[in-house]
Amino acid sequence: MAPALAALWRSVTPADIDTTLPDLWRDAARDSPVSRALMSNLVIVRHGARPPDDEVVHLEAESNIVRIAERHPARIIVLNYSPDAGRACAPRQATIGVLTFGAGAVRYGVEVIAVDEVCAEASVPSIVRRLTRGDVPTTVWWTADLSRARPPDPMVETGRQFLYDSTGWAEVRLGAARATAILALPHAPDLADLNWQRLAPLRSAIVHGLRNELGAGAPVQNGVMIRHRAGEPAAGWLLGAWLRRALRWTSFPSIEASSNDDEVVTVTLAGERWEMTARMNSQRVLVAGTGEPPPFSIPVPRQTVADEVISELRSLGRDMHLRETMLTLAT
Amino acid sequence: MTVDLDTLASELAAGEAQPVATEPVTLVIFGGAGDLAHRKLLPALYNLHVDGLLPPRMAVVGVGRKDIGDDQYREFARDGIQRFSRRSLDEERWDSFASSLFFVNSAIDQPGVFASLGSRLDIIEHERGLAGNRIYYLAVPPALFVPTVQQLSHARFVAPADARPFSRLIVEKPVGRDLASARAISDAIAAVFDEHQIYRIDHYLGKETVQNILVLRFGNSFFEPLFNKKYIDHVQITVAEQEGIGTRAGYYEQSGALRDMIQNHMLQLLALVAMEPPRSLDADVVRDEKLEVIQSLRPLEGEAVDMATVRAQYAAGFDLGAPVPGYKDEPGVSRSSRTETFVAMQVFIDNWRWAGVPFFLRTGKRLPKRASEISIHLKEVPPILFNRDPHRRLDPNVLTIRIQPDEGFALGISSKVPGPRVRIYPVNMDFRYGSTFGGSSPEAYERLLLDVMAGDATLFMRRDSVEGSWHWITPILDRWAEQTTDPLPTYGAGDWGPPEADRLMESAGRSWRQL
Ligand SMILES: NC(=O)c1ccc[n+]([C@@H]2O[C@H](COP(=O)([O-])OP(=O)(O)OC[C@H]3O[C@@H](n4cnc5c(N)ncnc54)[C@H](OP(=O)(O)O)[C@@H]3O)[C@@H](O)[C@H]2O)c1
Repeated sequence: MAPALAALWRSVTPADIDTTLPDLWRDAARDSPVSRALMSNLVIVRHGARPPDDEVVHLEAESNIVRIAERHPARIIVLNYSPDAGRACAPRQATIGVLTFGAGAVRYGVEVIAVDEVCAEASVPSIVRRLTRGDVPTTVWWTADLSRARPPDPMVETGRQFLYDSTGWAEVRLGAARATAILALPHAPDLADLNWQRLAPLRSAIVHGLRNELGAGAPVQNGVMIRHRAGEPAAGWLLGAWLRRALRWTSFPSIEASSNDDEVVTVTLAGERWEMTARMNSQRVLVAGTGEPPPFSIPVPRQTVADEVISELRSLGRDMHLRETMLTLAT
Repeated sequence: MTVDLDTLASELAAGEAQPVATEPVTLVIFGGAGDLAHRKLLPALYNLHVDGLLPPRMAVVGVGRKDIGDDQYREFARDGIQRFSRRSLDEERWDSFASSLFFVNSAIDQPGVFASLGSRLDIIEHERGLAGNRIYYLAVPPALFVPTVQQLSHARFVAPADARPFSRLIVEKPVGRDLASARAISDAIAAVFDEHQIYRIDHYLGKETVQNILVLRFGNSFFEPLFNKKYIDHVQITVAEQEGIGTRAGYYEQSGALRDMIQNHMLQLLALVAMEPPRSLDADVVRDEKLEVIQSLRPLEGEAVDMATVRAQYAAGFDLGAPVPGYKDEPGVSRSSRTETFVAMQVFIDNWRWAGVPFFLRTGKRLPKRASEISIHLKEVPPILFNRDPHRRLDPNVLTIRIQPDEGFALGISSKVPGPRVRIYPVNMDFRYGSTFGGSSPEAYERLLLDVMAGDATLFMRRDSVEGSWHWITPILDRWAEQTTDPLPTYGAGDWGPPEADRLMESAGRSWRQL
């Protein structure tokens, strides 16, 4: 567990959340002052999940939550969302906590609220709107596979940013279609994809290779070949869509699963008299060309999921490349 | 050399913290066993007592039709304090407070009953050494405001203005339901009480943050220079209620959100935010400046009403995930009701300072949460340097004054995220009363009751201001009354109002602030 200096938890009925939180703050400040830190709201949706037997143990063990809270003080709201059209279950219980970090003058705390069970789709916004603080940005983090489970539109629209991870998508183009449907909503949030962020070193290695290593004007004539690790097709398809759009092709390049488990994804681009291959594994991106210069490599930063989420939380604004890539992928 | 007693007292008092109200007084609450007294007035008086702020000699006399005696009334008060006071009940303090509570059983609309009320008041005042200063509180249904005042007059309960012992009158809202009825009530009251004796309550004005608006604006040097059309893009005022109408259908069906919230509280907040600096804190000087704002509101009449306002009614929906009924399914509401439970509007103040700056007002019941705030949105920085990327526009600076809950204010500013790249993130400089000054702020009614005892009318509404507000509101009511067949927009309980309210904002190129 990350170094939360103290965690105070209380189990309450949903109606008592607002009145009990001040008590927790008072308790947290009993021995030394603590200031409430709040940079954003992070709504974590656990889809299809029954509430864990012991939510506190579960929350503390999920070091993502503690690490995010420490480095990007957000009000964290966890919803166990198990949609069931036949039931209109209102949450019965909530676990609320104040986590405090730091010491002395820089001691600060954040709030965590976990709601036990939510099932009626239409009821979700009333919960999210109540629990989020309006004066800071809200991110909705959909932790399930978007291609398997679709978040309700009103839930998505409560956020300024919609965060997901396409890495494990079972059906990539369906996932992309759902992501782009979100972009078409009247109050569409910005998209943030952890997988897209992870592929950033590969994208910049390709750009660097094309721009600086091959000499100006060498067209990609002979094709593009993408191989992705088995079970992670989204990496391949995201890059395929990114390249297809830039090349203005009408079809996708060749994308297939690779038997080499070491590399996350490998991209080969070829012109008439040149070829360049970029291989990305968990450590580095290695770019090798057919010509003179020796291969070069770009390190892949060592990041936990919490680091990646924090990075997205801090990048407000529209990522046009991700947007265009998703649109291309969905067509 | 001899010193007279007054001089001696003044000499000794110099340098001591001045108590706010010291004159002995009898507070007569008509409707003293009603909901307002139970939830607000008696708990407020108890807290003032605990803080040592009540005059040393005082009596509180509840009047109503309930057949109860003093002891039962004290039980009623105790229950209200236990349930609604910001402080828990302390037995010792309670005992000393309870001894000043009395109840008189009397139906105020029956002739002749004030004679017995008068003799009971005389006895209480005699026993407690009270000199006959009286504050009459009209905590009865509005239809009884005028009859009660007339009874007071017939029974010769009212001393002339500036006389000693004094008589003062506290009037609850609502005063009227349009300009004509407001005038009629005010005329009837004015036949008995001088304007200086009348304290019209708008409890919003008693809230700590609302009082702080003037301090914020005129006690700091860096806000006031920005408060004008040159720097402010627009202002939003939201009073959101999470609750439905509960058991108050009878009242609400006659009222609606425009009368219930906008005519009084929200126009008063608007006036405080927009007023010119008063030359002194004298009650009438401050109220003159506020009146100026109300009188500068651009009139909304005829079709202009349709363009600038949205009204709606809540449909069934959710409250924190739990299903709740729509307005028409609430007990006591007509199935064909056209009463609005939500209003959004765009208004302009046609004066030099605010010309062209839109003020957006929004209020409603069954919104996602209980929250009231004023947000002042500054103009965007130019699209150069840090604001060049149209897809990553910087959030404009916003000064937010939170009225409830969590009273305080915040300033949203752009700041660089640590790291080698220039990434900018909106952060809040946040001031909260609770955590800064510690403890709980006094309730609005505490401050207001104390001010009446001290004779300070600053936080109360003057007749011209009430009528000024009705003058502006009535054409909107008239226009709406004409539109009997157009479907009324609806919003699901738990939403931030109907889509039409979003469109009102979007057509002005802005969006509602999330609360
Ligand atoms: N409650 C609130 O939160 C609130 C907020 C803002 C403004 N107000 C205003 O405050 C006033 C009181 O509201 P409330 O909610 O307290 O109403 P309430 O609960 O109905 O109380 C009204 C009181 O008036 C008494 N009363 C009624 N007719 C009477 C008569 N003929 N003679 C003597 N007493 C009579 C009733 O007592 P008996 O039935 O025993 O006679 C009752 O105690 C209203 O003007 C309301 O608009 C209330």
